[in-house]
Amino acid sequence: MVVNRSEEVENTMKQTNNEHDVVLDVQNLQVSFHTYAGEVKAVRGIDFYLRQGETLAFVGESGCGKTVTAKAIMQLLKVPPAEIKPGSVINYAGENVLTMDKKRLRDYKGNDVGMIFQDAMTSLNPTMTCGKQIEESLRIHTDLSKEECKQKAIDMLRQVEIPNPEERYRQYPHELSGGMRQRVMIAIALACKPRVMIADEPTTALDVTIQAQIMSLLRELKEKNNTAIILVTHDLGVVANFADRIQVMYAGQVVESGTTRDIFKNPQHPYTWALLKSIPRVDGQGKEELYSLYGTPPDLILPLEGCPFTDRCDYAMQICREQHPGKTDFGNHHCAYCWLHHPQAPGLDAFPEAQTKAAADFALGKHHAEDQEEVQA
Amino acid sequence: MIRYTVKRILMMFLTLFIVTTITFFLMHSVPGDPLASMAKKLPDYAVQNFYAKYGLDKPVTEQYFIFLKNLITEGDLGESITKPGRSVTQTIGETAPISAQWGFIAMFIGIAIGTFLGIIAAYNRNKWPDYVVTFIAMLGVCIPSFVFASLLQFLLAGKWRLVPTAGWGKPIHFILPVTAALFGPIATYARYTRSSVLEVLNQDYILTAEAKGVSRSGILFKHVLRNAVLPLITMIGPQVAGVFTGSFVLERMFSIPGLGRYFVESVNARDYTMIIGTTVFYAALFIFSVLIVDLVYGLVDPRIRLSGRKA
Repeated sequence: MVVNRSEEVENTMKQTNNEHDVVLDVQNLQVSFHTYAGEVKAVRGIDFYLRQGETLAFVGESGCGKTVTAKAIMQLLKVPPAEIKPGSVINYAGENVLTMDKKRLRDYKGNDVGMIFQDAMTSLNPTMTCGKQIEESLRIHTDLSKEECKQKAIDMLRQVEIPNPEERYRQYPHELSGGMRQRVMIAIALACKPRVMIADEPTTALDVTIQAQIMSLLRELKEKNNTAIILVTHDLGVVANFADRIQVMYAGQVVESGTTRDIFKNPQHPYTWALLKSIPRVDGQGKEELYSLYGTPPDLILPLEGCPFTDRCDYAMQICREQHPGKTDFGNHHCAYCWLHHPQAPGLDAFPEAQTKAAADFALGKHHAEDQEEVQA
Repeated sequence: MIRYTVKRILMMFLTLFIVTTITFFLMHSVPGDPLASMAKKLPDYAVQNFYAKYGLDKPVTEQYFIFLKNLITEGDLGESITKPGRSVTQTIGETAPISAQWGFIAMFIGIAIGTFLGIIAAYNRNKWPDYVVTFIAMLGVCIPSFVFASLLQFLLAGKWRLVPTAGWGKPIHFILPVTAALFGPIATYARYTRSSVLEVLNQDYILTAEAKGVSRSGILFKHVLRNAVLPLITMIGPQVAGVFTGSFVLERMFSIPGLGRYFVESVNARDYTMIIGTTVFYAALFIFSVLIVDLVYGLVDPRIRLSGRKA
């Protein structure tokens, strides 16, 4: 499944690999929160781009800056306490979002970029009918008449595969199930056909079967409208089937990014290994303990000199504490920030205690191939 | 909805009945009676005649049933004992509208100003407008209305001679009591609105609205107000009752012939019929306003409408 999907993706990427297709270009994004305890540097210099029709996933644990990045793109951060540091660039179709005036920004939100939130229960206004909430963005961003807006809203409900859209139009959020509410959220976000949609953990609050339905709905709508999606999640299972590219984040930085295929088949950063290892396996014995990475992410108030992952890394070296690792490019936009890839770094054999890489390989089913090779030899 | 309302109205009568009963027996258990002061000067047979006239010579339980019978069959609350010739119903009918007139004006203006100030404070949290509003609210809560009243009398009526010190009958007489009574509701509503609006502003659906590109005023009017107003509606019930019960000091200060004054006087004189009449009136008013509040609640919040239908 993963393989087929990624091959498709690579084909489409070849077709769309063009500078003009970049809808969103973020450079050196730095976001801080000013608190009583000090300045929390939640996002520390992130670069990425998003092409038309492409899906980029932000993966990482809680507090790694995924959601803050997403909100910064949408300009939804409360300033203060949040601050987008000077030097940060967020370009939407060549236009700097950070310097937009109020009017342009209102048009940008909802019309150019739509957003889906994690918890549809609390993200819908309880005193407003679903229909009215979808209509609202149409009323703001289009010149449609009241009746046309209503028809469009009902049509949106139909598009997100809600049965009896006319009836649902009049209903309040509390009268719908969790999955239905998330569908309404999607309808709201897509009402004005934005070029970019940000989905902030869209399935976290849902159970697994509904999750699958929502994800397949998102994919369908995305392909139909050629919408670019930023998917914020900590669920690698969701990402594998859905994203074209993955960006693994840790402590407000990107530690590895690449195509979904590269990240799953050929991960290069110890944190990615740990993430992959923590996916429970269906074909395991069923008795083994689930893997969890020891330790906690670093305090984001403190300055980080070296690699932020050092304290939890099986392969930590002296240099990791002292200096931030540079970018290593593996081609095809696959890159990682890790000292292990420095020419002078010792091989993985130098860390006999380390488990993560081998385990991650096991998780990816690589051991089968190696076993066979040994047998043949 | 209709079933719910009918059920609530039936409950209302039950509550009223309980309130009446308790008041009746509590009142009669207090030592002394309305004729006690008069009895000292009159000969015994005259006193007995008086007692017989008001039915006070009968056992308390019998008096209670006579009172209930009159109330239910004729809606009659009896005749005032200390002011012979005036029926209680008549007194309430004449004085309550006066209390209501100036009391409701003060209440509505106060709620409007208070809500407005609360919104301003919430939107400017921890900035100077917030501090100013909090200060006003603190003053309004701490200082009793009669202090404001005497201050206003001193300044507006005494020093600057803009309005009459007291009196009733002309629109100009409204100014002082209404202004003095404003501070209470302003303070209460400013505080509650502030916290309620702040809470709504932190809700996820406000973020959703922002992500849709809704303007600041659009968010305030379409998303914040309707959700923030719920706890404020709840407080209208007690406020309505407060218009009548809380106003007796101001009515006395400004010589307003309202109901509040009679209430206090009747308690002092142990005017049984008057006490129970006003109490029943207040209770009915309070319960009724709470019912209205609950119904309005259902109109504002669809989630409550649904559970009301089920009940």
